[in-house]
Amino acid sequence: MVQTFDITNAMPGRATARRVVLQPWVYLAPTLATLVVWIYWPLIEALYLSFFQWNMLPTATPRYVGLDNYANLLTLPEMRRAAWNTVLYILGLLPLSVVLPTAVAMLTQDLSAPFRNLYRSLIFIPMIIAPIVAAVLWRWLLNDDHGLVNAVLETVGLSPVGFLKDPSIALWTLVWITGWKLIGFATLLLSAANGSIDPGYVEAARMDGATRWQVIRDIRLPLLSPTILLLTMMTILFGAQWSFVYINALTGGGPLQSTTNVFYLMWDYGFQSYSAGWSATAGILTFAGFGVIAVLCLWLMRRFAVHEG
Amino acid sequence: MTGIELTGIRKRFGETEVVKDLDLSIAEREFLVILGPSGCGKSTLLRMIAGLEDVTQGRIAIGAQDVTWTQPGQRGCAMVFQNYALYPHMSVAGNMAYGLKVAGVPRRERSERVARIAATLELGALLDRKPHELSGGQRQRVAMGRAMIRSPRVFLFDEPLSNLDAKLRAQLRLEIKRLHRDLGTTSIFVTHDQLEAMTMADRMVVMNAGRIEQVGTPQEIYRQPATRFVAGFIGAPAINMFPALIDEDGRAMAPGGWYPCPDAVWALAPGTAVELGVRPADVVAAASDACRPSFTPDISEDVGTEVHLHAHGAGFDLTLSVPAGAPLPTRSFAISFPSGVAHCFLKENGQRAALRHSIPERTEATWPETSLSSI
Repeated sequence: MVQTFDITNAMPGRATARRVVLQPWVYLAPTLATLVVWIYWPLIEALYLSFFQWNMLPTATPRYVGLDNYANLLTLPEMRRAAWNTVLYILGLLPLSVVLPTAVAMLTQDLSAPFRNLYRSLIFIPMIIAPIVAAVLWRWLLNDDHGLVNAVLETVGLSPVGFLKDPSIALWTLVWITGWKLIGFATLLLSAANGSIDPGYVEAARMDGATRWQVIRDIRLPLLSPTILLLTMMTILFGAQWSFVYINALTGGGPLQSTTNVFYLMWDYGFQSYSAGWSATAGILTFAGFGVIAVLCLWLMRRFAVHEG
Repeated sequence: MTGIELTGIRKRFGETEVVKDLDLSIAEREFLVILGPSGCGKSTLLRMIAGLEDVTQGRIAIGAQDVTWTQPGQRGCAMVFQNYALYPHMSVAGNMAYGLKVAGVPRRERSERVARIAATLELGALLDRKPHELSGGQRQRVAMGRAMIRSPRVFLFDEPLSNLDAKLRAQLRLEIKRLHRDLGTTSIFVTHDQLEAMTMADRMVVMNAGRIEQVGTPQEIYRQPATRFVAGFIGAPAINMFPALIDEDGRAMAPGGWYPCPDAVWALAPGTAVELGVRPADVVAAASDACRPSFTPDISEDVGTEVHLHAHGAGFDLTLSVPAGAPLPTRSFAISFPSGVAHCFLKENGQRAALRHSIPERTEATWPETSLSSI
């Protein structure tokens, strides 16, 4: 519009010319400001901090230590343990955030409207419960002595399980709670995608003699692949982060650091041990690691997702 | 024997009955076209034959075998869909071979059969393409190929040409007819396009509101429409309808005491309200006179081979179709037509009324007895 105005004016004034240059930036300013203040500035700050040792006290001066933080963290067993746990969280979440919701979406596709609405409401409830409330609820349910789950186990003759106290089980308990919150969202996403598949394809396959299972395998799953890959990518990139609340509220990374992941460690270094340098270094390492994974995931998605063209 | 027998077919969606007690038998090797307006139940009927829709009541037999409750894939029918429904994630070859793949045909035989069908349909160069890389006509052909590859007993076409432009439609119409001539597979073709129906059908079914209005060859349906609906639905421009009353002698009298076809005596009681239908091409314009209603020319449409003249009259409008170049009335005019071309329908139920005395058949060349497909 501005350009049209310029063309109609034989001799645009300098003020107009300046406005032409500035105007787009004015429109972009709010978004750019948000990006800079909340994303890029903290990123640069973190990168900067990762070369310093600082206890976060305003009175203390950060001391430059070069790459020492990186060298220390990369050799620290604690960090390696957290990284491995992060992988376990992600692997444990994938069945809950991708496989189970896909199966549920397939099994419920033919439900009549009232039943479908009922099941969708039920499966969506965990999603809308505040994470901290969910954490408290699960702590009660899973309590060793008085928890409902253990009470049920005992009535069927099994010995009580230390869901949050047994180092070999605690991580999987947290995976379950994180996943339980995700099932609803993932199922809704997949049901919606499944519902938007042109019924003509399924009919054509039925005419071709495909069985119910063959229709799912050959038609529905390939056509759902963009959604399935998206959920997989989200789980890989964010799954371990989503478990942070539950680690913090339920185990504090224990017992014996069995439930610590990189995100919890980062927070622990920064706000429990007050070593900002280490926390920032862990953050930068995580950022770099997940950055590489994200690029890989995007490449995989482009390569394998089926689009209708 | 791969004829199809439909007996007492009903289909209800909730409260709405879309197919109402329908009987139809389709002969082996026949090309049957089901024609009707949107929502008349023609697609539902086809889908019930395919097995994609369950019947509420009735029986479907294909080749003397009851398939009413048989899975679609086991009925030996292949279907070409309106939007083609080509699997978007499979190549052309994959789309065509899928039916064979689920049937457990070995890979080598699959590709041989795909190559053979692709050659018939001139799809050889496109086998590795994905459907979204094809033009509408090519997609249509792939859909045909997918239907042909399993050598079905019956072809079902659900308005397969309606997404194509006019030129391509005419071309594919011919191709489908040619394929039918060569393969001789029993075919049911659903369309709302009367030109498609008239040109392709061995036999035609005109449906309306879930019922069959008429079954017959295209010639019978055009020349002897069984109901007012059929008369109005077939023919472009649409047939002219004049309200009339049957007088003491059984002749039809139009408003104003005009006897449009004084020679025709109908087997109807005096006072019966009827409608007289006359095709636009059968109407002849004449000089205005006192004993006939006059019409005022309104708009003329030159379609190349002929000119359609729309005119207003007292109480009813009229369309005339005259050959291109013939003189058109410019002022008020009266009309006449031979008695033999008028169709009389009861006002009450739209059924065709019979003549009491036969009128000599029209003398112009009749259409050949044999079906169009064998020409």
